[in-house]
Amino acid sequence: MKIQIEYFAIYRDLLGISSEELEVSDGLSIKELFLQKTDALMDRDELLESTVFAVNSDYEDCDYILKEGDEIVFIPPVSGG
Amino acid sequence: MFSKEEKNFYQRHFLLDDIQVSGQEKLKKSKVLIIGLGGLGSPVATYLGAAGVGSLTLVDGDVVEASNLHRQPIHNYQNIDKYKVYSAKEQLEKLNPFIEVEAINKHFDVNLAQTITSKFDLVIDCTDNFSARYLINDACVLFNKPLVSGAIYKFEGQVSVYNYKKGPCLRCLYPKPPSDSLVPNCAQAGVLGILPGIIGNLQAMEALKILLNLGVIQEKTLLYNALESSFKSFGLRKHKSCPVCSSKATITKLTAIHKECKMNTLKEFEISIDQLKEKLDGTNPPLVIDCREHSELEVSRLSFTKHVPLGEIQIGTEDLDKDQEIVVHCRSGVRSITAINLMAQVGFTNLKSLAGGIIAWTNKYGME
Ligand SMILES: [Zn+2]
Repeated sequence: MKIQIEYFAIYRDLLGISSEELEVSDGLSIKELFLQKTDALMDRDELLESTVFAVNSDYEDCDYILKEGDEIVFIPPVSGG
Repeated sequence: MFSKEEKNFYQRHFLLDDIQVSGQEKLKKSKVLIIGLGGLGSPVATYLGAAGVGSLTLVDGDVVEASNLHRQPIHNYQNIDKYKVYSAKEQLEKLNPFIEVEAINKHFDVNLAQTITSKFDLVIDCTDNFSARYLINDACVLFNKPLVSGAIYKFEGQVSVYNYKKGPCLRCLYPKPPSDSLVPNCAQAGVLGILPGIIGNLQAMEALKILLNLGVIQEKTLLYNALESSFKSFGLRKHKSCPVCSSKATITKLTAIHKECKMNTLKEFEISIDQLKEKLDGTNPPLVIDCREHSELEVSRLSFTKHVPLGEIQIGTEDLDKDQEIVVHCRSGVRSITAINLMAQVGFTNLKSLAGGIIAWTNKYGME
């Protein structure tokens, strides 16, 4: 199935892209998707702990199972002022 | 009641059915705490002051720097090196003489939070670091104040209303300050000057709506992406085990949150004028770099310094030995901390910032 991912703030820098459309297997959770996408990064567990995820128009836990057409956003905390 | 002059000032508000004289009176009686008078605080303070919020309290311990002005237009070039809160107060009083502005030239800490938070109707977080953001959130939950929070990163920004009528708070979303891996260093990433203007104005708008009980108060995060000209919003939910606002809360009083940029605040990265004098008189004197602007050298300059303006600090020090002892000074000791942060990033290992800057030095030792 197809999903859309958007990377907010520092994820754009860490992953080098701002968004992508992706073909993923059925039953994939946000957490599994996150670990796939951040494969090359250090301290992924810590990253996961400080990141929240929005799917369509709501925040969701990382156990959320993705559905066809979901738009997911990786949102790290941001502190600039 | 309003004087004739005030009526004149606010007449376009009076014409709005949703505000009228009664709404304007509500604003006049409102007390708002604005923490941080930088990129976000500039528009927040300007527009809430102009809107007639009767009492604004400004908190910030920083001074105005030239590199702030492209995104902090409440300040001006004449006010460089002045405390931001005084610079902002001066501007607000010129803009609207009918409001009260209190300036507190300190960073928001546990003590201050404990003493003043209860006095306000609303708190606006315009700070630039996680320690302050978590402390402000906790204070707002514990003192039961709505919090309008804004934050920016490069070309993106976000606005959230937390703890509105005991609704979700920052920790419902992010229970604890982030890991260092998400905050690789604290030297400020570049930021497009207009971005905080947009995000700050969104904060000011939400604040006004809360004070006037107007429209729908957003229990959501609004994300703005300037490059894509897009807004997105996501509903916030209270977390059943939030560490501060749930029935399972473990945070029941305010404590300092240490998530500072390591170099930003630690005293060990500062050197006093007396310590520097001693080193300069010794056998192995450090290299002293003056990081002020060219124009400032005409006013005062120490003969033994190498001049590299802050804006060129990484390029201008490229050829230096990374392990030699270097002391950086500016006018008052603020910009030099930024300078050593930037130099540390490119590999310098033995850096100090002169506390009090050239002002402190010349007061005691003259120009030498
Ligand atoms: Zn909470």
